[in-house]
Amino acid sequence: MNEFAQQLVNGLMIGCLYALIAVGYTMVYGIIELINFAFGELFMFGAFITIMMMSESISLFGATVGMPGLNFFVAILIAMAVVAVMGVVIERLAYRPLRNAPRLAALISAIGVSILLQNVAQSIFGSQQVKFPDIPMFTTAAGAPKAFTVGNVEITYFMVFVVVVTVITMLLLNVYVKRTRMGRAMRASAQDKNTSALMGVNVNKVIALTFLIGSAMGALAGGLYGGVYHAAWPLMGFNPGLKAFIAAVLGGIGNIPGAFLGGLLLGVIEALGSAYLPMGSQYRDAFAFVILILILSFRPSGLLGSTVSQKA
Amino acid sequence: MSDPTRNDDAAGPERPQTRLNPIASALTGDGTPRWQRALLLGLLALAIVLPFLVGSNRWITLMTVVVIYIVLASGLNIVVGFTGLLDLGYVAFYAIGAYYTAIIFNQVLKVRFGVDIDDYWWLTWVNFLVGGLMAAVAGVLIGYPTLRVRGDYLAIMTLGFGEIIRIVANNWVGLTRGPSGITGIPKPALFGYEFSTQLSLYFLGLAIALVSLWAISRIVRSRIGRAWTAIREDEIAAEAMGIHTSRYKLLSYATGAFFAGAMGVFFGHYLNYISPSSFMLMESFLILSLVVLGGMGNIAGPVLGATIWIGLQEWLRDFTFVQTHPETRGIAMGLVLVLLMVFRPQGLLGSLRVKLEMRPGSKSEAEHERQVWSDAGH
Repeated sequence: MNEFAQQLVNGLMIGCLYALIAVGYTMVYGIIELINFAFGELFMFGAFITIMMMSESISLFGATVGMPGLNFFVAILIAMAVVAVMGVVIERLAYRPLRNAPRLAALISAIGVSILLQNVAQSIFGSQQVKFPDIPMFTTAAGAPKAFTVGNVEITYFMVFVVVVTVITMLLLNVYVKRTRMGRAMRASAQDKNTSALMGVNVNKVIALTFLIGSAMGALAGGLYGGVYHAAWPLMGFNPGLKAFIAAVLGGIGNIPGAFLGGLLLGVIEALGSAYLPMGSQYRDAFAFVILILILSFRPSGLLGSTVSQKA
Repeated sequence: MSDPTRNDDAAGPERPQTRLNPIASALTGDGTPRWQRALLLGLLALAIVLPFLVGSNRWITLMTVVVIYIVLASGLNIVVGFTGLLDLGYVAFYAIGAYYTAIIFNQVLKVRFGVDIDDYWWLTWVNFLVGGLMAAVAGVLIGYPTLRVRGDYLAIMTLGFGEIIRIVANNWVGLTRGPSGITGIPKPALFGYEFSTQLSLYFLGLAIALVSLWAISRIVRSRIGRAWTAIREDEIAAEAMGIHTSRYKLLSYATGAFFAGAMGVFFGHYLNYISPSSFMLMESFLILSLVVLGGMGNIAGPVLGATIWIGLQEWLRDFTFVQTHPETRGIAMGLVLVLLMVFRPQGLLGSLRVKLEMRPGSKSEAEHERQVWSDAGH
């Protein structure tokens, strides 16, 4: 029972991180119907920039460079800002010229951006893992994470922080999309870009904003993920990125509460599956695809999605 | 484009009338512009003559690698170029073929039954077909769940499948021997003749490549190929015209996967050794880049793409900077994909149909007609 509860808690925390990345996928897919593979890589850059900002010095292109050594909270905000700009630039350069091209072209461009960013990161930060600095607030003097126990379940303060930040961000985002003028423009563009444009919505601005928000969320997830695993490495974004997309499909693509639900479910299923299924931990990364196959076969619109699967 | 079955550029009054024309025609189809046929014939001549001129094994090995990638890229071209669906885990099908033949020879025949695998030389040739068919079945199984949703989901499914195959190959140690891989796969042999030299293996690979190219060019010019192109151009219109789109999409996945599986069998027997590290995700992206570079939906495209890229890659390997910075390869690949999509989506050679599709409304009919003529070398 205790192990079950422990796995459940771990799963929920990882699920929160999937949910944060899934927001980007779901919003972008909802509006321009593009799987932006690069979110996984922006997530990775989020982790690296957080580390950079927190360190006193870091090795870039093999040369040691002095760094500000900021506190974790400031560092992750800077990372979010930088990555958000990166996301907008990517959209402008690699996707906007292809807005009216066949979808295959944009999809190939997206995979190209993803490969490019991954290798650029390798060039800048090296191919090895870079250690994530300890965060004083969440670490004891001995270097172990601060934690408390409920029953026999160990919960670190950082886990609580991750969950709280995710929930608050999701709520704010939901309010933003539901209640503000810009949010309404987003929903309108998701329904019909051309008609929205005729109604005076600046669709380009809406799409740029979507990338801005999605990338910032990805960077936030990346910084937190780095904090959880105490490291960042250039390939770290690949699996979480894919899984976040699957989480978005699971919840219903284009639906922000759906992304949250899908992320949590996926995180929990993965944690429990790898704990209880035979050889589960080796095949951990395969569960998400089994889920994708099931969801596409039985409910392509996702758990919370209302629209029937769109074709062509 | 009123009639999608018509070859847009075949209407030239002077068709090339060389004696070698039947070969070019068999490999590319009648619709291919003259200079592209000449290019293919030139490459073919080079492919036959060059190994005798260079004589060093390093070059022959390089050319064998190019030939392998030509087949892989041409197979992927069926799915990506002709049907317009993105397959990002293509290397998984290649892995299926390679592991299938390795497991049959090593784990089953040698270890389980303890027979002399040299007596089973004929099985290699059977395996080309069986390995290909197994990959084709896998392609259908992976593609099937995505039929109800948009084609984009295929990209995610195949990406995941590619990773799963690698995870299985790494972890199912009893069957695949895990990360250490399977050794001792026999060289191909035919009635006592063993393909043991680099040169003989190269020519075997070349023969397989020619057969594959011939088959692919026949398929894409057939009723099936026209259905694929129609699906790529407009799925709803294709369906309205009576094309059973689900069936043809599955057929496209299966056909593409078949060639990867068959080439995987060749790869296993060629190297005598396979391990999961040969089937990394980056390989799938590399194969995709070859197709995109040469020109999607063009028979000659992947051939040129593979020749240029793999050749360049091997040549650059001599430079110290590239040796110490292996990621330059990935950076170049990413840049090429993005830049080509934005500035030249039809790739180096281009496909006229792709061109029409990718730049809607940017050219008048007359301008397009002129473009066709100049592209065809008139």
